[in-house]
Parts: sequence; C-alpha cells; structure tokens
Amino acid sequence: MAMMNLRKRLARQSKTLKKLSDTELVELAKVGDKDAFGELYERYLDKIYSYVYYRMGNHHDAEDLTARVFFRAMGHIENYTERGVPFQAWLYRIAHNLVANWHRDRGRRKVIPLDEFIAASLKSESPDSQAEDQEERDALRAAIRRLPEERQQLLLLKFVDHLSNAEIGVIMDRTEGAIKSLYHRTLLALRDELQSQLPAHSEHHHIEDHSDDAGIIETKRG
Amino acid sequence: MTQEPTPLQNLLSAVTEAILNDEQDLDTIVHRYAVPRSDVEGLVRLIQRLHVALVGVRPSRRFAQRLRQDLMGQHQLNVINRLRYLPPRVQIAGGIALVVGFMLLSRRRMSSETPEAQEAPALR
Repeated sequence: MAMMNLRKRLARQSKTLKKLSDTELVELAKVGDKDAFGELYERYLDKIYSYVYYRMGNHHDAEDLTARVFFRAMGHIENYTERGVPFQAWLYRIAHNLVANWHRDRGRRKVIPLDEFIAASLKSESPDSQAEDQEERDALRAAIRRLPEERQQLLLLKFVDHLSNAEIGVIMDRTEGAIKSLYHRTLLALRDELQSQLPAHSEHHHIEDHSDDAGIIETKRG
Repeated sequence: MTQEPTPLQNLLSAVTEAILNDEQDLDTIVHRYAVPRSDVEGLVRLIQRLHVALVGVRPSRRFAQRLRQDLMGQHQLNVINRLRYLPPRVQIAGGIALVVGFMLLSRRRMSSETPEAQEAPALR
C-alpha cells in the first residue's frame, strides 16, 4: 500500500524516470514497474559491462555474466534494502560474486582482456604515438593481470568505472581510508612489477627530476 | 580501529581524481601535500599510464537492446531467458539430458507395446 502511494505521488509530481533517483526507481521496481528497472538498467549497463569485461577477458563471457547480473538484480530487487549499500554498490557486489564464482567453478586464471584493444577506440590519441603507447599498455596490463584479485578490482573500479574512494569502499566493504591505503600499496606493487618484468620500460617511464622548477608531470594525453 | 591515510595516500587519491577528470595542472595539487617529490613522481606517471590503459568498454548495441527486451518481457519468457543465459556447457548438458530422456521414454513405450503385438497373432 505504501509502495502504491509512493508510485502515485511520484506520478503526480510528473517526474520522468530519468529525473528520479536510484532509490526512487528501486522502490518503483519493487512494486513491479518494469520501466523503472529499465531506467536502472540504462544507467548501469555500461559500467557493469566494463567491469565484467575486464574481469572475464572476452566479450562473449562479459555478455553472459552481465545478463546474469541484471537478471539476478531483477529477481532479488524485492529483497534489496539500501541500509548504507546504494543500488550501484549492490549491483557491483552481484557482479563481483558472479565473476568470482565463475572463475572458481571453472578453475580458470583471472584474465583481464588486454589483447583485444577495442577500448582504445573510446579515447583519441595521435597516430604517431600509437605503436609506442600500445607497447606501454601491453606491459602495464600484463602487470595488472599478475596482481591479486582485490587490487585488480580496485584499479578497475577506479579507472574503468571512475568511482570515488567512498563508493569503492562500499562495494569492497572497507573504509575510505582503507581504500586509499590499498590503492597506495597497489600502485607500489604495480610499479615494482613493471620494473622487475620490463626494466627497459620502467627506466623509460620514470620521470627525471632535472629541475626544482620543472613541472612534475608531463601531461601526455594533452 | 581506523587508520588515518598518510599525506602520500591522500595525495595519490587527489592526483588520480584530477587525472581522471583530465585536469592538466597537477603540480598545484602535488605542492599542497608535504610529500617528498621523489616519492611521488614515478607513481603519478604510473597513474597517468593507468588512465590511458584502462578505459571503459561498451557492450554492443544489439546485446544491450536484446537484454533490455529480455528483462522487460521477463514475466512471459522467464524460463526461456534464463535457459538462454546459462553457460553453454549447461545448455549442452541439458539438451543431451532431454534427448536421452526422450529416447528412454520412447524405448520404454515401444518395449511395452511389443509383447501385445507379438501376442496378437497367437490369439488368432
């Protein structure tokens, strides 16, 4: 009854679904509003797909797992209560659990799909630097692949999905401070990994401090 | 027991956020924190490389539309959709089980019909 009242109230306010918050959409989806769930789907499909894609290693498995994430979310949305875990974090947790189960069941190595570089088309770069950059990216992705699972997860949530430390903390069930600490350790481990595996590259990528006045960072992506 | 982040950890988070937002002036951010320059340089460069290497991937439009349709029409096609998204191995195993089950049923029916067929001429 309360849900129906909420629905009517929201309808009276003539809000379009796009203007509704996740919480409002979830409440509507709970009472069977498919369009509300459809809006949530539109909001999070790309993010969830990206996350799953990097964890699975290919588009076929990414599609399979992404579909399962949304089917599971739809099937269990009646039981979902926010309680400090926003809908987005809940979805990521479902995705994380399904991916982890998939790898465990099949005993497969966790692979980040670094070979097919479809993602490159999403960002522009100058043609002259493509070969060198590709080499850099391959080395970096290979190093990421060797990191423990939680560190891979942190990097993907931060760089692929652009989530804040607070949001990542909710998903990984850690405090924001703990995420910052884990991020620091992850960067150090990744740097060490790169240096140990590809000494020629690591030498190249370190920035020499020639002058105190010099900019600390050369912005490469212009 | 919560541990406060160190200045370096705060700096790395701030720089990462700036890089993800495509901000150019990172020096200003770096100078805000009491962190030796030598501790930062390599890590900031690494963060820039991560930003370039790890980019968002979009699903195909066909997949996105099909999944949306499947989700929206779930009440009518619930079982079919769930079967479709099962792993291929499970689908194959299910198919084999169905075929074998059908064959067993057919065989059982045939074997139960055969004695009657044989008995019929004797009755005549």
